[in-house]
Amino acid sequence: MSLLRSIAGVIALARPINSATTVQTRRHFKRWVSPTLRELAHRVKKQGVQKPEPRSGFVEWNYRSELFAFGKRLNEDFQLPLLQTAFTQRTYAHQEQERQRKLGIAEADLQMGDNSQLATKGVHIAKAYIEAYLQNALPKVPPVGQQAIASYLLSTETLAHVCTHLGAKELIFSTEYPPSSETLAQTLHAIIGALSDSSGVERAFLFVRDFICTQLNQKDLLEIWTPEQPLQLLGEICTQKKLGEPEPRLLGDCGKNTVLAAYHVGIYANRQLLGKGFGEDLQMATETAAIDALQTLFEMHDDRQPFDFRLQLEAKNVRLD
Amino acid sequence: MSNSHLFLKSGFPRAPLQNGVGRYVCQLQRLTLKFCKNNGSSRGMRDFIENHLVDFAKENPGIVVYVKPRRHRAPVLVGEYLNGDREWLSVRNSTQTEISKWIDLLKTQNGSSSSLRLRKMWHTDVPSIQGPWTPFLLRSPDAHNQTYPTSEASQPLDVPQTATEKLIELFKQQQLEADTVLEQKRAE
Amino acid sequence: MSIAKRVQQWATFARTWHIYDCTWQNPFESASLVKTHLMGLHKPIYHPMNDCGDHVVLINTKEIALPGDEWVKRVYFHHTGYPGGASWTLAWQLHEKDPTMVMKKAVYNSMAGNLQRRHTMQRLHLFHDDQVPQDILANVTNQIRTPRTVPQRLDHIDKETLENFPAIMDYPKDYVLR
Repeated sequence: MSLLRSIAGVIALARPINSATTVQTRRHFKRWVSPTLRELAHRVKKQGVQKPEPRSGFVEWNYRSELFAFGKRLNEDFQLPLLQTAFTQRTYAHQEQERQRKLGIAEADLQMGDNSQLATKGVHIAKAYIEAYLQNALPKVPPVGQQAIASYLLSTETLAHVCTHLGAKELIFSTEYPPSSETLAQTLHAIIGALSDSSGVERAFLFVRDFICTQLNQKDLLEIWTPEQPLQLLGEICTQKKLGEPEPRLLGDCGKNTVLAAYHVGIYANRQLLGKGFGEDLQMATETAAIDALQTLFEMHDDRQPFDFRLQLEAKNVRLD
Repeated sequence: MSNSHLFLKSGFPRAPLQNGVGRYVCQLQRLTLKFCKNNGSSRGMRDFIENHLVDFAKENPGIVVYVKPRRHRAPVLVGEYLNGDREWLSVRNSTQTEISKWIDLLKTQNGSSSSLRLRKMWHTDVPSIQGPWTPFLLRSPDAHNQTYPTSEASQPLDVPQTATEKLIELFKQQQLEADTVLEQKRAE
Repeated sequence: MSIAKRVQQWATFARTWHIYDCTWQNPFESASLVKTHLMGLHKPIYHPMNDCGDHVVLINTKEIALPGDEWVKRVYFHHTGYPGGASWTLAWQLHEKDPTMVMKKAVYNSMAGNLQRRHTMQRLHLFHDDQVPQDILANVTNQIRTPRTVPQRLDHIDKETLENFPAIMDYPKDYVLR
């Protein structure tokens, strides 16, 4: 429409002003509008998919305000220079120094921090806190399972997801746009490191709890970690806890001779039902029954008590190495 | 749902990043107020900027506010959200109270609400506390070991007493009574 | 989707096999019962767009009991499509030709005539007697209860029970028993 308007303006100016004819407004689109727009659309299509424009290139952009708002939004007090360092990628810092060196700026002014140190600090804090949190929230899950869940929470995808939803994507100084998920994950680590430097390690712990640990909310834990060889594991645990030898029993079946056969198997130990499972054959049903029994023993069922995300872990319980 | 909504994205109400489970984060990250300095349609916007904008910015330090004057264009509110949504709102000829209400709406929503058709007003990942139904649910353990067909399993559950059965019952009762009368006579 | 969720889905949509004994049953009364199981209407997960019907094995369809004078009054119509190709068959004639046909048509007609009906009918297995192949019988895990009890025939009752049955009244002395 703006194009139309400007062209109308040009036409209006081009007319001799002193002529006595009355200005006649036209109530239709000019014949050239449609072909022009079609040609423009064609050119856009020919160029293919364009990379998204970084928000920082807009006129209405103030990096300082954005940095300030970033901390305030999360209810945290960051030291702004530290936060800015946390957003600076190493590659970007190098590139920028090269550029300035070429422009002939003195070496002393070329110091530009990057986030690698803050990130290593953040990795330690996040890892230590998440491990301590899982130890507290899922005490009966064996260490293998806890490690699997911790590595899910600390995976690049999860961290990148958290980082983008905190609004860090536009603030990152990086050589590529949009920033890759590795960059986003590293930035989140660096933010945790910067927070620890700005307002103490306790605030950093709370940050990890509120933004990373909450990703476990309503998640199917079995999707994150499924015990391998469940029947064998169940046998070991039953002998440990002196529950007796686990024994699978057929509880029911449907359509044995069809491709849609379904079996219902229960696992008993000492005449007590430990878990039930279904499957398309007996082996699968036994396996899922064992997994069900393990879920009950590890207290990681879907209907267990929800995670407590208001938990205050004491700093001495978190093992920072 | 009308035809104009056919290409509208649809979804369920969701809190991004489990917002509110840990701590609440205002999802509006940027607000741009575009207005004209002398056009009448921007009058309410100018009043808002003059009277309320500074207070608003002080109350909400987490929202970056940009003010962008431009000539002879209608006033516009643009909200940008943490999930990447961008909501464009024309506030032509709106008064300052209307504008503050619109801004309040932008501030309190998760993302651009007008760009999503809600399929349902609720959503849950755990649909049933009892667990989903299966044909094995509440089945008698006896039913498993049977070989069908059997005549017992075929019979209806509520069979009323037939006349023949009633007759036999009456007959037996009669015999019992006769026996007791006989015994009483013997005892005498 | 985790393994537990996958097998849960498998179990929820498992097709059960039911068996139904048609001896002395009204086919039209039975049809509504059989239809319920064939279409899965008895399940809490039922939805018209949800393929959750069960299999039903009907045995002893030869022994069905039509109410009243339906055997001679009920007429099955067929048209070959050619001129003069119409034919009307009485129920007893049809039953003589194919003892499963009356029951099959009763179930077929009890369902709405939509695209699903013929697919639902594929899950119905009819046998005129109780000789069911072993591979089908092995699938069966449930029996549908009939709406009526099977009446006992006088000549099937043993002699002892008959003789011990209490007499309601005595015959007059001059009554001639044949």
